[in-house]
Amino acid sequence: MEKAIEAAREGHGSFVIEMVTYRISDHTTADDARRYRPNDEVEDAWSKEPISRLRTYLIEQDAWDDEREQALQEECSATVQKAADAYLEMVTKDAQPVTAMFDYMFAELPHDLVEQRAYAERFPEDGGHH
Amino acid sequence: MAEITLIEGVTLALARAMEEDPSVVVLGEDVGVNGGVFRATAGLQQRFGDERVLDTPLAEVMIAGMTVGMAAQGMKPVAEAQFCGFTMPMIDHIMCHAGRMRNRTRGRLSCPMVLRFPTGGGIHAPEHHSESPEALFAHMPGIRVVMPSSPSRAYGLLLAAIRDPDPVIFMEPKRIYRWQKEEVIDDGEELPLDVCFTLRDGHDITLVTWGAMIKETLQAADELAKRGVSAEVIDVATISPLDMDTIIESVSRTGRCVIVQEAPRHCGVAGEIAAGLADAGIWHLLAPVKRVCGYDTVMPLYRNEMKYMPSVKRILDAVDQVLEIS
Repeated sequence: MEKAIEAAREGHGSFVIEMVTYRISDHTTADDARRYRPNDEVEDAWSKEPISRLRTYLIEQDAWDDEREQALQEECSATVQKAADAYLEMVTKDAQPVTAMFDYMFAELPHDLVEQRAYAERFPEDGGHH
Repeated sequence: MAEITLIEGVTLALARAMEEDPSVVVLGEDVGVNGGVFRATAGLQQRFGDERVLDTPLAEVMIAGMTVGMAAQGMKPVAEAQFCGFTMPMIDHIMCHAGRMRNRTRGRLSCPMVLRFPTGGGIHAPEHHSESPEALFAHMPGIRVVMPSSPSRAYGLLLAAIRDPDPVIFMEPKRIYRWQKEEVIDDGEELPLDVCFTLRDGHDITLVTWGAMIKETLQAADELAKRGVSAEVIDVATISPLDMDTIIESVSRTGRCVIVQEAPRHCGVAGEIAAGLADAGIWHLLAPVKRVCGYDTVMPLYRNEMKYMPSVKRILDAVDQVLEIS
């Protein structure tokens, strides 16, 4: 990568870099990746997982320790929790009205959607049962 | 005999078709080892091998192209697209080749393929996973469009679609994949394509719908029954070609019709049915035909998706308007 950047900056043209990555977790919460890939493949990927490798490297360099790790984890958890709380507050106290789906369809809402939007307002809290 | 779900009806029909005809192959993303993103092809690769149940690369254009090619050369491929939104890159092959093969070659080649995929919203999926594009496919000449709404119709119509000598788009309403269980006898008996199914007899109003909207429409019919209104419920099942005869025959007895469609209203299948009624059914109508549809907007994300889709309340609102006119 360094060589490619250097060469590109020196005017030797662009590069395509193929990065082989591995998706460690399931594809979605509905996916169970154990169905189609062996466990040792996943374990092998974990052994090469870049964040844990960076941690090991930094600890060996005396640039990181458990105490700082825990502090960072707490800081990150708090940030995530804050965002999640803000989201939950928004969707409960300030939920999108039924008309929200019409808001960004066009610069100016065409007449047929004006009519449908008015109709939708008659059913503001409809649905919600799957 | 065990009761099965709609998606199990799909699996059962695929297995039956593969069993009886060695030219039937199944292909798509994750249909083999994983058994399909919704488990529609679960167990098929173990049973029929990886030469007949093919895991393809993540490349819809290639899946569609391979499917058309295999079908034109005498095989009976059944391709899966994981979600309706992923069929958009396939449209070139479907519209420009599958639908034209027989006509283009003046009958020398045909394209006996099935492209099946889950359709519709209501499962909390992200963007491109919840649309109802049946009208897009129904607008293409030379293509059949079929949508089952029960386990037995999934089984019987998919068998018919696979055996059919022409291309069929088989859209599976994923919101009701596991809604109802029904006894389905795996006897290889197909159900007829190109006809509607009357799910409930009635004499005051005809409710016409298809796919997952069957659920809300039947619930609306239950509500109406409590009020002493007898609603006939028709499942269109084959979207293209449309069986207007069954619908008009029903309307000739009820005089009133409300069409329920999850897809956007504009240029939708409901409009086509209404046009058919305006043409050959006009003398039977006692009131205007109403459509209850999804809005002509982008399908909203999951918190609002049920607000987008026709509800029992919206269906009843339209029915009330139609019944008021005497």
